[in-house]
Amino acid sequence: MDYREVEQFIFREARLMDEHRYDEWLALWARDGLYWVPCGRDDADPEREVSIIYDRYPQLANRIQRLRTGKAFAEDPPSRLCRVVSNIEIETGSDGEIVAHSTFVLGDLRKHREVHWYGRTIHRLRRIDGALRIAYKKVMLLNNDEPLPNLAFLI
Amino acid sequence: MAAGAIDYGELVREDQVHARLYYDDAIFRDEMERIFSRVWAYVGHESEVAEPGEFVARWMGLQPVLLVRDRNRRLHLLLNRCRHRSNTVCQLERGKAAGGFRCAYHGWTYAASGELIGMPYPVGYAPGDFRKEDYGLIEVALESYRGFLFGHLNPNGKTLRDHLGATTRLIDQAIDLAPNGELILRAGVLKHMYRANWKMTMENVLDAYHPPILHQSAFHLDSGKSFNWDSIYGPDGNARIRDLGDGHGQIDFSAQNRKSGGFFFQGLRGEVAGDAQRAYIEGLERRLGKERAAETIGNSDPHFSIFPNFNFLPPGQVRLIRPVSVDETHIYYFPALLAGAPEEINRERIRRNGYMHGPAGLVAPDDIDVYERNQDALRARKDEWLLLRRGLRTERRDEDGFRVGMAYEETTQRGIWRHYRKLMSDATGGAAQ
Repeated sequence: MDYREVEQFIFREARLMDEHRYDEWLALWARDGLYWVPCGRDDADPEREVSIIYDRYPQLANRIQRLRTGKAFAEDPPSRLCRVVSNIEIETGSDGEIVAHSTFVLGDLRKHREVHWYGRTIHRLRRIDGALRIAYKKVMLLNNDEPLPNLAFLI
Repeated sequence: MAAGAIDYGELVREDQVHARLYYDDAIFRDEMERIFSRVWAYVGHESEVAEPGEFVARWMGLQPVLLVRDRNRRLHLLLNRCRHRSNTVCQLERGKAAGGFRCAYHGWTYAASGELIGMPYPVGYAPGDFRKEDYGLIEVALESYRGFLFGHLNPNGKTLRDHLGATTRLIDQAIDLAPNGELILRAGVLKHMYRANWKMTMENVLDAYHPPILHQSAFHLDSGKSFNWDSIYGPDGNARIRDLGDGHGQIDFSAQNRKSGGFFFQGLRGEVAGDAQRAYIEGLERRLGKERAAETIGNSDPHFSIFPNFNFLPPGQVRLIRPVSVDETHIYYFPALLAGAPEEINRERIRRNGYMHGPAGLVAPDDIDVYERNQDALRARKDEWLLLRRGLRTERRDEDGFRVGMAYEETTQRGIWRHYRKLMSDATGGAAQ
């Protein structure tokens, strides 16, 4: 496992999200990937409790398709985003997966209003045809039990 | 009318409303008095506090309240305010009050029933100066309709049943879909905030003109691309809007649901395996019989609103609207699960709650953005009237006497405003001047 490669992968993913490069971001995902942003608390059971996002790949693909229509008005004009990803720790997971823990601070500026988001992320990465792919991503927002403004961009 | 008082009859007309109703802080303060202190307002569902000691923190207008079940399983709605020096006695939004509520400041302790059970150094009161039984947490009137709980700060003789009127039929319709005849709201809550007036979401939830336009990005995903949405929303469409009186209203999709075999707007078609669907239908038939089960599935989840702060939407979602200030509102979305339904069906209801209508959903964020665009546009102060004239001349009455319009008309919003004008024009709440 190459720490540098994993770190670069996570930084690149962050930049694709910041720059709304939706298709390139979706291409980072394994076809059986799971994207989870818990609601209310970090350890909620996503099968029994509602989540802010709980997408398998087909729902994720729909989410991206919608954002690309130009008619997703909550992102028209798009948010300007700038995130700092840090505190990356890497572990070996089961089945040869790589588990990466990280934290982020995200500035979200839209229509003269600036919102700050904070959170911790767990990635599970898998090597598919030589390239790292996201098999699982869990984003634990600091404010996941608070009334949130729109979160219509990629987090 | 007292000097300086606001003339609501002038601001709310039959076919248009004045922008000031959305941005004037004095009007917001009147609303907290004349609406949220004078009508039944939704506070929660019995299943949220199913166990003795369980509580959730809610609001009556701007006032903090606790909805709690005491050790004898009785429900109470209590002001979250210590009777001694005014301190919140509960800091959490939900939980189990095993030992009741204890004020941190001087240690006054209240049972889950609100009763004052103790304080340090009671000797500080001279004999006869203080009776504990007079200083329990202040109780707010609470009534239930089949599990849905509403509070009233100043009960005036109007029962909850009177207030709910025809919406009880729609609550029944939602509950009938549960094989065990019960809805359960214990699957968490999504919370969404916006910087605009609370009435925008109350109007929008009954506006069936906007969905195929504002939400086209969600309607035209691969799954809906080939569907003719005009067949629901257009001039030949089968959706109807209905003003149910007292500010309540409905978007009636039952014709489309029946046409599509039920559950048109949610995940019982395609997304749930056939055996789970069959088990669900069998469960429903055991309780209702074959004929009524088929009719219930045909109607599916209703889409309706109870003035001033409750909505129910087809993915099985209860909404609680919380006005925070004249230009800030919070919406709480609760998945409403069907007791006795196969787990797979409730899982799909939970998933679609977040997927469609949460802060990161495919639908709700566009509504939220529109409310904020509305509030921004209200700064333009020339000809400040918002139009509500669509269908005014063509709406008709249904067999129950309710006004009915086409999806793209504004019968339901007019219904909200008609009731609003009546409540807001009454400065004293019916009391003598």
